[in-house]
Amino acid sequence: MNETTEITIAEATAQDLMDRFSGEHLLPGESAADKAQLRAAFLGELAPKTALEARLADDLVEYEWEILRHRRLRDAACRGEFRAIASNVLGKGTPNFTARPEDLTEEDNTLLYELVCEDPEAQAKAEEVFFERTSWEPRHLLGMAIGISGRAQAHEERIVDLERRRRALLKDYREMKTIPRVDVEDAEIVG
Amino acid sequence: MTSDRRIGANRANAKNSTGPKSEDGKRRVSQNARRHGLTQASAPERVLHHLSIILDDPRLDARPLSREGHALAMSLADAEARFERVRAAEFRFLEDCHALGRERAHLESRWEKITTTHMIFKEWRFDEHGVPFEATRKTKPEIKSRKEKSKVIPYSSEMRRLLRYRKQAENGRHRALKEWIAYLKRLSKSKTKPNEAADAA
Repeated sequence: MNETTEITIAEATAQDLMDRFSGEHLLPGESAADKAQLRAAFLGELAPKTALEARLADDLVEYEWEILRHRRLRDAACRGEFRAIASNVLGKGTPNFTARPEDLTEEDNTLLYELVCEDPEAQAKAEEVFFERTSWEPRHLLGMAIGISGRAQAHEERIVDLERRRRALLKDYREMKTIPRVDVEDAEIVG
Repeated sequence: MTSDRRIGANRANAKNSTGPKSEDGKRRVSQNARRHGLTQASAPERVLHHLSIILDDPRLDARPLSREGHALAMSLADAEARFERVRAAEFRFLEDCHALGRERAHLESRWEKITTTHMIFKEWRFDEHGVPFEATRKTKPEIKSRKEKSKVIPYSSEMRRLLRYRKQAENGRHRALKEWIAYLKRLSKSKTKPNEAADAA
């Protein structure tokens, strides 16, 4: 038991622990610092004056964060589908037949990894190699993947809904800001 | 038909076990049918928390809230609490999906295609006048093949239910907020008019 705890703490970075105990609703891979930055930018722009306005501004931040989350999940779904189609092309010569692990060589797997990696240079190089080997344009396959991915479509629908909700809340927020303010005679401006 | 003896015995047996007697037991069994708790009343402490946020407004200091104002503020606080709860439930579900390695569990579903078959017999029957006629008879359907397929649907039933509750909560909050803003506008107009009149005088 103690051993497990030691390994967990040793492996976790300070940022991980901060994210974990920040009290924010964060999924694995999301950063509390990024969310704090987003919140600061929103609050700076919206400038809430009352507690309710601050609460609504916070909701707008949550909507924006959820939209970013679903965009990330949608992109991941598209990449996964693209990788599956590319593996079919490498293993079977056509995207329509599912390739088994034994159909792919070690070199194929490396190429597939580089096709969806974060490094743009490695990705561009892998795309060239893929085109030379298969005569299939990777961008064409990516378009195919986006078209057939049900998961990506589900996330896309969710994004559309969240954007609509965010627009409606922003409209309400601006309407609330137009209500005349009351000057408090003995109030002190702090900060 | 149930006999009187059986009815009497049932009534006597029912008296032996009619659920928990203690308050603690009653409270526990009241949660037996609970599935997600998203339809129950909001927690009073959360409603009060949101109410304190709503009423923390300098515009409300000059004049006490009317009965309508109190009702609208409570309605908005309740809507906020409901929305907060359903949003937290959705996040917990997504978090569980990740923690259990079911990143796709909220998106995919499996279904199976079952092909059935039946046999058809032809036989001779007689109508009420004794005239023979040829009739067909089908046997009960039997499973011929069972093929499991994977079908991607937008969300699993659990996620769809969460989204449905979320939509309701968001609509409720939007409506309550609109009414509250309209009330604040009316309040500000009724406040400024006497001042304008005094200035003019």
